[in-house]
Amino acid sequence: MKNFSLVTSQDRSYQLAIWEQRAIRVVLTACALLSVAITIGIIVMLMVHCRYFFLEVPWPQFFFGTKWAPLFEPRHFGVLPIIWGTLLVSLGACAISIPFGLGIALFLSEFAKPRTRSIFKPIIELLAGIPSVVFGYFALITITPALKIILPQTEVFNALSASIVVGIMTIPMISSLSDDAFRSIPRSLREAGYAMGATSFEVSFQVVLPAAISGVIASIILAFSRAIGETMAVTLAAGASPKLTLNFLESIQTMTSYIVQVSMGDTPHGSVEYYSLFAVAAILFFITLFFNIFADFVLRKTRISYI
Amino acid sequence: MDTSQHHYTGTFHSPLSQLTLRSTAPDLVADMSLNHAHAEITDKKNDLTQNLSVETTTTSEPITTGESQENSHTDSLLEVKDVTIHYGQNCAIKSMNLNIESNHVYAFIGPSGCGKSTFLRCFNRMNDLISGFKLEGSIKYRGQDIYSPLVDPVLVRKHIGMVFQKPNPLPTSIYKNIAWGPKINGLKVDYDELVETCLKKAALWDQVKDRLSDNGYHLSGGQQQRLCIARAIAMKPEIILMDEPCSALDPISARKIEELISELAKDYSILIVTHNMQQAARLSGHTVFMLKGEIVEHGPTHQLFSSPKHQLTTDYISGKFG
Repeated sequence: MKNFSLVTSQDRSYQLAIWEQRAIRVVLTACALLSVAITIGIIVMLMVHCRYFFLEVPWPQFFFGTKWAPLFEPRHFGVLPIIWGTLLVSLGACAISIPFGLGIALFLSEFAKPRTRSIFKPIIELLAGIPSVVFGYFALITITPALKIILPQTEVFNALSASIVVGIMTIPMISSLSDDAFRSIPRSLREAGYAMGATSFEVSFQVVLPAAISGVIASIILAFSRAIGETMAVTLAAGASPKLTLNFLESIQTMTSYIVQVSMGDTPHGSVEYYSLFAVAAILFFITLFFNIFADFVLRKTRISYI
Repeated sequence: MDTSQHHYTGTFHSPLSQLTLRSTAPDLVADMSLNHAHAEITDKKNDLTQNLSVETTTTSEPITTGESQENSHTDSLLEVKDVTIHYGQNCAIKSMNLNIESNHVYAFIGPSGCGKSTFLRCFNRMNDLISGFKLEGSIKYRGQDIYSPLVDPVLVRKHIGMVFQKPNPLPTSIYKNIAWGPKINGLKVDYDELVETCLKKAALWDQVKDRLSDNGYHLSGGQQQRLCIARAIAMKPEIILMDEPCSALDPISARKIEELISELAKDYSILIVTHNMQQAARLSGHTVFMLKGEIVEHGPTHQLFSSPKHQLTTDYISGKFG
């Protein structure tokens, strides 16, 4: 019988390989830890600054106040108007991106020929690559003037124009994720529909869409959460007048555009308005976090495995 | 339908398929010739029952048998003529010819990739969904070419139902799985009753009657397949296509489905693709043996299995290849 040993070799190259593996493991773990550390760091930073803010402004006034005027005397720190502004723009954006996004996704996955699809899909995804400042200018110099022609009472800065432009920005998100969800539905399910004498329209809307509903809802929630966090386009298009209004044609202010406004001005370090930035940012963070967790929950809850 | 006028038709058709029959062949002439067709099938079937003891459809009457001998020509349920099928560059079926008579079970056997599933899926135009599919020739269903440009494939599928290899219930309730097809096709019936009869026919009613609102996916594999069969029946088709309906199931469920199929053969024309030669022998009256996109041999099942004409058939059924 041939001589052999299962004991670790003391050979130098073998030792080197072991160290190499360990080193790679450490570097990769560090990368993962770094992202976690940054997230935790941001949360801690937000919380610490929030504490200073709430030392000066009582929390009921902040959470339930209906007047937001932190930069001028007399100061008011009621956060509701800018939360409302944010929701108004985000809901308006969803009203545009959901029908268009789902329409595009259904078209791409159910009706488009492979060639058409290969042309359309990259173009639609290109929309996601356009910088949001560009979208802001697009809203300001194209959408708003167009709105003024139809509705003359439209203000220069208005929520509608911001909604439209954020809606356009989030279309690729919904169309792309929903398209993936539709395409993950196995062909056997579509065949089940067709075999029962359904038209392709009925199969798309009554078989494929309900079967993919978890992915579709998740894409909508993610798009909504993206709309909430959208900054530059909204700042440029919607203006900076915090208001509790239902009128889309008026100027409003969102949480993100308030942050831009304060960051750009010469707000003294350590002042109340300086700390208010962090309070607003914390609310933004928690709203977005909530929606992301919610999307995850919906995905888990409604997913059926078809395999 | 008036039973006194068509008393012998009544013995071969359930009331459901008579409805379909009338809609597709409304004139009396066509109806009469259909009866002759049935007579001949029944003749063959009696023959079969003696040899194979396959439990199939009802008894024949002497009058009809006599008539069938006078009229040698028959009107086919499905008539396949010079059918060639391509998927892109690949030829799947080569100039196929076959006549299929009604109220009969046809089994399609052959090794994997011989084109039997492709062939089966032609009858309800299910292959239209696959890109690159091209069919030459004609397939006539009761005299109408289903591949004519004027034909709506959706209408074809209302007459010719299908059960697939893998159970594929819709991701919705058991009730909706069955009621959906008739509903989108605007059937005016009592849906509760329809769901009950279909589930009873598919031998599933007793197991699910208390949980009709449950998702179809929560059933076991065999139950899912029976749900799919119930769903196909709900459309009141004349023909049911079955693409290896038992192959994804455990032996016990497969056996139950098989029993169900022989039960259904009394009311429907069934075309079944199967890997399992014993299954073909048990279920069918007619067997078609296919190889590399062509029919090698077809004929009454007992004949094909006991005294095959072709050497390839002998080799295949004796297990020399497959």
